[in-house]
Amino acid sequence: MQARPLWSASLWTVFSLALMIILLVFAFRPTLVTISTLVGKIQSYKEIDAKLDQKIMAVQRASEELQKNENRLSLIEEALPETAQWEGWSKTILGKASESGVTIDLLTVEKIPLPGNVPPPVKKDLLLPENSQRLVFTLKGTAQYDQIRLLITKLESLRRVTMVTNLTIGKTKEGGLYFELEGQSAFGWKEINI
Amino acid sequence: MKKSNLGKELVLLLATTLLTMASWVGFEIYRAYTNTDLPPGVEQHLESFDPILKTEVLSTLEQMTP
Repeated sequence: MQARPLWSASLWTVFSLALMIILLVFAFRPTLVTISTLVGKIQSYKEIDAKLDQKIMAVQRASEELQKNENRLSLIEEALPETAQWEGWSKTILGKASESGVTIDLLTVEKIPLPGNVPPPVKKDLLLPENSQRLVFTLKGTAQYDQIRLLITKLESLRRVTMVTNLTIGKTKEGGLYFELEGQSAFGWKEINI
Repeated sequence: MKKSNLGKELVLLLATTLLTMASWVGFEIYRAYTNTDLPPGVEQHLESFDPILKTEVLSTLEQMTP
């Protein structure tokens, strides 16, 4: 190095510069990190702000839609009441049976659900709404084919969500027809998308 | 020659050190920029929802017998 003073001087300059850079980096690192954190936060808050604006717009629109259809919302409660309301339900079922001309000998309702003693939610395999409870019933009686068909049509077109799950038809000793109809009605919804 | 080689090695060492430091600081700044913790509960409020009410269901219900 003594033989090449220029090389030696350059080397020391490089070392000095490098040392300065290292010290500067160490000195500015916390400030740079803080600036970066703040810039990141400002950016994310801007995004949150935009999303919240969108949500407020959506809520306003939903509120308008709700007000527009307010008078029709009772239909949902009628179709899918919160409780079983089996008294009114049984009157409706028997009324429809009467309208169809069938003679009902027996109406059985399985496990009439009381508050706090509700059956498990309906599985997806049935056509009843998801997350709803079910009122399982059996109708036994005598009728003609047309009357049974009419009864099924009436039951399945009820506003209260009802479906027939099983039907057995046989002949009586007198030559008439007896039938056993199994079905389910939905109730007890909490969160259902309509 | 030996001394000159030592100098070159030192410069190389210095350069790699600077490069490592620059990467370290760079990654730290990037992490600080991307890793912004949102206040608790904000995510829940940001979930979007469809404000359109499916009124065809209500129309169908209207047509059915009470």
